[in-house]
Amino acid sequence: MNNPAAQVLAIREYFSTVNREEKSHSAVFISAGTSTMALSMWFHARSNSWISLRKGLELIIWNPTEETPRTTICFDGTTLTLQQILYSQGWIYNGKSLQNEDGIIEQDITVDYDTNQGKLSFLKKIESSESSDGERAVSFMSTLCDEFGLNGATYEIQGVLSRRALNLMNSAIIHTEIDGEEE
Amino acid sequence: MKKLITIFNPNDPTPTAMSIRTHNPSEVHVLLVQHKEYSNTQKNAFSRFKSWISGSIRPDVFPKHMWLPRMDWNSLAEMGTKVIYHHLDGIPSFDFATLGSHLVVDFFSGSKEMSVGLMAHFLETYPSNSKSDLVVTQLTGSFVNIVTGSINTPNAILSIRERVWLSSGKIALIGEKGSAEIGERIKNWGLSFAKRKKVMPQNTEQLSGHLGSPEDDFDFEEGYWLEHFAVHVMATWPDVLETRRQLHLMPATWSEFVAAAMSKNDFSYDAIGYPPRGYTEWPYGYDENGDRIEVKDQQKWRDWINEDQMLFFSKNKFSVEQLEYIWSFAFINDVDVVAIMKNGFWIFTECKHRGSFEHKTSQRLLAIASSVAPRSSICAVVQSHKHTMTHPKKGVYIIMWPDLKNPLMSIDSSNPRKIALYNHHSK
Repeated sequence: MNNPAAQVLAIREYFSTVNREEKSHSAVFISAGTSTMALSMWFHARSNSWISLRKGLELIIWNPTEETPRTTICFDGTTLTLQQILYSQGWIYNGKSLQNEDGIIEQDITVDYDTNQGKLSFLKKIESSESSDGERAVSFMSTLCDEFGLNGATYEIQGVLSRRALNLMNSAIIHTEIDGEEE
Repeated sequence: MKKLITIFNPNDPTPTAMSIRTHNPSEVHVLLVQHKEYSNTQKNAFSRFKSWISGSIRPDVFPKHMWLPRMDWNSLAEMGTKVIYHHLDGIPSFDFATLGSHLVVDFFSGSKEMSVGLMAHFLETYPSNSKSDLVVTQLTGSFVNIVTGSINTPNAILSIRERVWLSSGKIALIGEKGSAEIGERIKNWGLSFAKRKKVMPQNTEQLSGHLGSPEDDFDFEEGYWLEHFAVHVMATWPDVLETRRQLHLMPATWSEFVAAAMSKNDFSYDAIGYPPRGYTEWPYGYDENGDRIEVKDQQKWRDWINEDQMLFFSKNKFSVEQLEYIWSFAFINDVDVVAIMKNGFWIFTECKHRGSFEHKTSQRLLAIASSVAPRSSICAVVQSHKHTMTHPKKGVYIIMWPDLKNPLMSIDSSNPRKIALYNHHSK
């Protein structure tokens, strides 16, 4: 449902029985959903605390109205696997090629999951100097950026890219000519 | 006096600018949280935002006489908006109380955690919250009050050129606007199956008259007519706000701009008076016949020619026609047709009137869409030989041109992956 006004009204209705004078012992998880939903929940639930998921798989619990320190719980990254995370977005990785349900496919790509940081990394090495190979790699990485976002993953292309391919580059993609030498 | 509070979005300044454009406030308070910790990419994003505020995105190194004035827009100062930056270590250090209680706090820009922190801090300052509006601007430009659920139309929305600049740091030149009126006249055009590999329009002379100005002589074997056809027919779709033909994206660096224009095969040096042998002396000497001594290192030649051409443009003045001519070639990426939807999504369309098309066409389209309208774009190839596919293939919708007459169904999702481009029952 992409009707933000209706979402706010539904959330307001749901929490209409909350006694605004009483202290609520609930917390709102704000990392999921749109800003409209998360902020409506926070406002109408009248919770004193919120929970957010941060980089490094830290769950932060905080009550901003009390001068108490934030509680940090480190989420165990090993409870999720690389395949589960990819599959949650409709992607499958067989150790060599990455594919989604729309038929977008990339061969010879390295995908890793850092269980400590909770971060994915996508690495594509360009072996040939063919312009079309580079353009395809940039296009594919751009698609991944849209799918997995800026906070949860890193995107890198290694190898020589043509000017046409470089013109397509997205600032979220790291480009290195050879191992470790950033352009 | 309308005072807007918004958090600066350092990964992409577009939401911050959208919020300002939507509310058109007298005063905007932009919160820069941990500005000193910004990465280089985020610092660049902030520079783009400041250029957007100034109304001119002309880079300093770009000669003034080479700039097209129509690339600029009104500055916020000209629109009556004063911008005040607040450099903060954290949201709690922002002092709401100094601004009075008649505020619009927009949570569209910035992370959700910062936004909730800002709201909590606001409610702490003004517990009754009766005089201020707590809102979230939407992709459409309208804004929703998260207390009452009311939705309000925007004062104005960002133009295509502004959006491209803010999201990608590229300069955009856009072509003809699609006409729904023309689109209605041509959308059910008769078909010819005389060609084995592609569907052609009937009565091409008559169609030509509808599509372009009298001097346009369309070759219906080539694809140019299809761009004109698509831009008008897509303008008839009820969910489309605006369509434009030929979105050209230019680099924002002077040397790349010059190289992009001068390297196009069909760019005429004569049209601008650039000497065939270059503007400056060849630095590597001449042989006995007066010909240049060739350099083995091609990079040396490329460096010289780029310097030479930049100097030529810097030292010479051009007529308006010549300037427009240079700009029309200076793009590094282009999209045939762009449609802006009422829900804030963009449709990027490539037109191919051939018996086949290569997938690299759609790859380029996907990459451009991702940099210009990340997470809010749909890519389509309008073509002449494959049946329309109601589900995307490799991330791109394939549409046979006669099917453009079927309007888009209402897009009811903020996730491009969940969007169905066509209402299956309408076909």
